[in-house]
Amino acid sequence: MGRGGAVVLTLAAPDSAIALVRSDGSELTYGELRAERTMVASKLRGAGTVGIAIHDPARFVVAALGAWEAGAAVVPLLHQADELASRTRVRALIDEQLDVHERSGAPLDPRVGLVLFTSGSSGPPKAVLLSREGILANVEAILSYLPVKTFPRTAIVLPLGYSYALVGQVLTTLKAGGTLLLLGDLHYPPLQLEAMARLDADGLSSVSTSLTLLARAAGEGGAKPRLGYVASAGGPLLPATVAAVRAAFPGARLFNQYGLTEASPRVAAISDAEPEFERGSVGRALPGVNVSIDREGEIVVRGPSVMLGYLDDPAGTARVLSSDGALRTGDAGRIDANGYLYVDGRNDGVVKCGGERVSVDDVAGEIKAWVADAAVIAVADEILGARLVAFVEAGESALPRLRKALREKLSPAKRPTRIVALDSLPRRPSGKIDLAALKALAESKR
Amino acid sequence: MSTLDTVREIVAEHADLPGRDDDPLQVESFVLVVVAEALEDRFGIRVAAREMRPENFGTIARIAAYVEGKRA
Repeated sequence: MGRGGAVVLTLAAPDSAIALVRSDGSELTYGELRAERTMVASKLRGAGTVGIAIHDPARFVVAALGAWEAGAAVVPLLHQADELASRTRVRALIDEQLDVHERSGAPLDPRVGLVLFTSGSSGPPKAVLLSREGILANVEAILSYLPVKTFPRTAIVLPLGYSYALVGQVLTTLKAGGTLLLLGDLHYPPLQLEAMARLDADGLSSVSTSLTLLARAAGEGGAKPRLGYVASAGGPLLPATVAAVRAAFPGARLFNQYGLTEASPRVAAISDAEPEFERGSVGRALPGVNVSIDREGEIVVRGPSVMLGYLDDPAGTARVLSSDGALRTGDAGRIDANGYLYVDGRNDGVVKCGGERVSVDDVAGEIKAWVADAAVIAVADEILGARLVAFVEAGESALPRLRKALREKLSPAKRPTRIVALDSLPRRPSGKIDLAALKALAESKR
Repeated sequence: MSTLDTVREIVAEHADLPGRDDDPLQVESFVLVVVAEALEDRFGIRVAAREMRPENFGTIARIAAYVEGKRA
């Protein structure tokens, strides 16, 4: 379908209904949202690729919807805007005041609706090209199980540049005529919780770590929003999360979901009304999504929501996407006789820390630039899911400089939470680093 | 070492230290969790999720005061 063609998110809610609410309580109706969307779109006709460098979450949503109405591909640019705008060939950049700055760049594939950044199993973040049709198909698929129509006041605490928040919550809620409570600017879990109670949130989706903190704060006598559902994705649903959510929000239906940015993002989902939930399944494939397990035991996804590819990275694309549109997820898994999917983790050294994909090898590579040798071990963490411990061949005095360098290079989830300086790393007779010994050491003390 | 010194040392392991102890800290929830765990280990306190608020974690000085209050 062509630019500005039929593939546009329809907003069916009446003009007077509330579309967006900021954390301070200020609101935007659907009528205002539609008018602002059209105003933004009129500035962007023919732009092709639009970067959105806006931190105010309500303006971010207005700008994204306007760019889509203009037929553009949207690139959220919440960090490193200039560098990433050049990399993604953004031709119009919208700033905090909704002013448009023209730039130059070759157009992207006209099917692209969204360009999102994600950590691959190695190397710098990849720019994932998602089609409009695939995104809208995924919105419909999510609405087939997530009770947004029954519980329409959706609390959003995740950054809007994540597929989970942008497709899984923003577009899904607006499509259902619900109200978005944009709370990501409140960084502290108890403040998010109080805003949820004050603004009558009844639906909450986040990563497991964030849900644990919110539910524990509520269970410890904090504010208690009346939630109809609580949904987890972006990594394993941790036992601590299930326990905390059930204690704090006993009436809420609990969902576990599986997906990845490269699949727009949702692939499978399950509620705790299904017995397989307790067995750890992430549910059955969503309508229109095909899930299978290949000969190596890897989960493979097919369907309209699979990405078009990584931008300017044919080799990286070819590694995960076959010519017939099969997406290799990198996750090992199983499917039972009734179609329930189980995710068994990965075998490429990639772990989920606080909901973020982290490559142990990449982090070790960054550290080795600063010390004689290093090894990185992932250890289980009750709240974060996993966290990294680094062992480095260096003196204690080298650590502050190393930590500072890693803060400049790596996002918080990728930084080792503990760095241990050793005169020499333990080695096996073969000369290889003894990872088993280091793992025992890493787990001996947190 | 004073509580303030120890707090400064712990935070410096996970975040850029602001110029002064009263300057606002840049917190992401991941860092908040990691700093809270480190405080629990070093001071033998328990940090409840409902206490992870700017009044307790917004600056180095506030974290130190929060820890002192817990140990008192």
